[in-house]
Amino acid sequence: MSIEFYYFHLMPWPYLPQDFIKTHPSSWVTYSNGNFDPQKGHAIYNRYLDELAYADELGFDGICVNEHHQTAYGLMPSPNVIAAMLAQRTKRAKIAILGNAISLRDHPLRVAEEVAMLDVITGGRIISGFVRGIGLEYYSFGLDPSRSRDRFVEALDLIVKAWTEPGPFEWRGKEYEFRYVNPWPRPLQRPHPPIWLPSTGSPETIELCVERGYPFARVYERADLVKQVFDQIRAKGEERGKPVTPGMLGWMMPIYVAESDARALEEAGKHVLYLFRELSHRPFEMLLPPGYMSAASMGSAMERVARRAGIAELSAKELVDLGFVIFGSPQSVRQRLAEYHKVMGFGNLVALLQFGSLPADLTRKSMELFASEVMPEMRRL
Amino acid sequence: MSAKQSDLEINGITVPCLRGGEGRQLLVLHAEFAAGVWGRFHDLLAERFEVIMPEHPGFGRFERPDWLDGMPDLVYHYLELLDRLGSGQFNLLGESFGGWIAAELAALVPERLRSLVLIAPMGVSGPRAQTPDIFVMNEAQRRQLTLLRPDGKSSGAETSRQELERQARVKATLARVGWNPYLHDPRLPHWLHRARLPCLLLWGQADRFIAPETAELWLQRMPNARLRTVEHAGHFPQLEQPEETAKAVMEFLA
Repeated sequence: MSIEFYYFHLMPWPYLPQDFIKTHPSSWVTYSNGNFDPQKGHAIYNRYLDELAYADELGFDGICVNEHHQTAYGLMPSPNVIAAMLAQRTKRAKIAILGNAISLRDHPLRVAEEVAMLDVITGGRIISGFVRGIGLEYYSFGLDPSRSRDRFVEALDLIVKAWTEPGPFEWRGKEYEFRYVNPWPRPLQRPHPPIWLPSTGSPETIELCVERGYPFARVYERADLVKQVFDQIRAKGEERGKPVTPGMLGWMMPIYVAESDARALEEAGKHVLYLFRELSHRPFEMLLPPGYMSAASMGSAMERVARRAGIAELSAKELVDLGFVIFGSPQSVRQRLAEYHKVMGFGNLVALLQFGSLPADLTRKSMELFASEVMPEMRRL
Repeated sequence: MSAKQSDLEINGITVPCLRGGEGRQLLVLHAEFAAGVWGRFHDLLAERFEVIMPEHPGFGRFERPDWLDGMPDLVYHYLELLDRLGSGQFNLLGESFGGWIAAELAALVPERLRSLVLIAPMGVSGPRAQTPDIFVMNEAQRRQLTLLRPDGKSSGAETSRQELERQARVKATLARVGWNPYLHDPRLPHWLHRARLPCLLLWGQADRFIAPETAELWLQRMPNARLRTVEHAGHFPQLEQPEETAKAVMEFLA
């Protein structure tokens, strides 16, 4: 078994008031930035950066950042800014940007440039994830969500071409037109930094992963549904004669390790609920704006989202039981992971070891236990 | 009276079209979510006119065609449709989103039109600092916003998957045309003066979606326009006060 361990951080805002869900319609888009306290922000950013750097010291294969806008859910509107700091603070771990929301950028070549800079400076430690940005962000940016998919695919093609073919060349697409494409620098890794596609698993994304061999990373979800997506991807790969290796499948999930199962639940339960409740609080129409997905996908997404509303009702124990998260003693976490790994066959575990309102001391303790008592044995299996 | 379905083929696509009544032709451009919806208002108009109500491409039965990328494409489409219907002048009536299309046509080819009726048209950015965002609303919330007296009917469990998908399609086309700039054309006010033909603006007095004060902006730019406010109606006076609204239209066209 070969498994790589990634340490993922969302950099959440942990200071939403107790009665937030009753008093506010959303923690996204419209939750006033008047509630962002820059002094607290100063402290929390630096704490989170320390945690990411610490993951490098603890021996994780990679550390991961991502992009979200106008939300308490995550404080990284620019993942490349955070990645740049980590480039200087770490020496060993890969830095995975999961990912740049290229559809939201007016100029995709800015992303090609920034990621190439990071790759050159870090000596080739960059993993370059690309995403569309979630539906809410089309409200935050005033961007037409019905263009999201086309912009994504075209920006992706443009960036890959800019990284791999010597410029200048001319680009004339439906969404972008540039006479002189010739970004300096080029990335260090050849042909380019690995491209990952973090996603919920739409048919379009599965198609891209299989056809182009881009690793897929599933955002946290019920374990049996994650398995379904992995199975679909493998089946599609078989069908196309392009076998999907474990290294192409990643699972991102909240994990908490403590001295015992009971203690894990007691210490981290309410903090993970903060992720699934307060930070995930938003109206359906905002999450899935018009044209963000095909009408057919919208139908099934509506069903999925209706179910998701139910997720906010789940207790921490139920989240553990359903495999949204893994909580427990080192032994339980190892056992659980080994079981999931056996039936699901993923090669990348993207562990969210800080989540919701989990405070610094518990985050560190869990990271240390995970690194010393889970990772080594899992690697030996 | 009921309308007859008589589809048109325009430039490679099928345009479902409802027709009713006899007499002079009155071309009706429907509101954003009202493709194929023939109501009491249209029946009343059909007592005097031949009412022709085509579906906007991508707003009704069929998917958005690839070439439809914004308002200019809809305007070209309707130029072709006018040519198809005949070479004379038309009476044109537009409701809400259809009013926006009608206004664009009136500024572009005023010579093709005899008269223009705009019912609470989109197309010109109103005076309010904050405009209600209909994209973020579900159907029930939209009814709440646009109707003075929304009845109890709401979508939900009883809505079929097929209908949900149709609504999703229509909303996506509306987004393609009017997400940003939001349901208006910043160029339009500058050219509206070209629409010198007689124009009637109708506005529900209690329109919470597009403020009735927006009418002032239209009146300032259209030399031959006049305003009639319909009482006891929200954004769709043709739905809530069909008799009075139809009467106003007929008096204007008489």
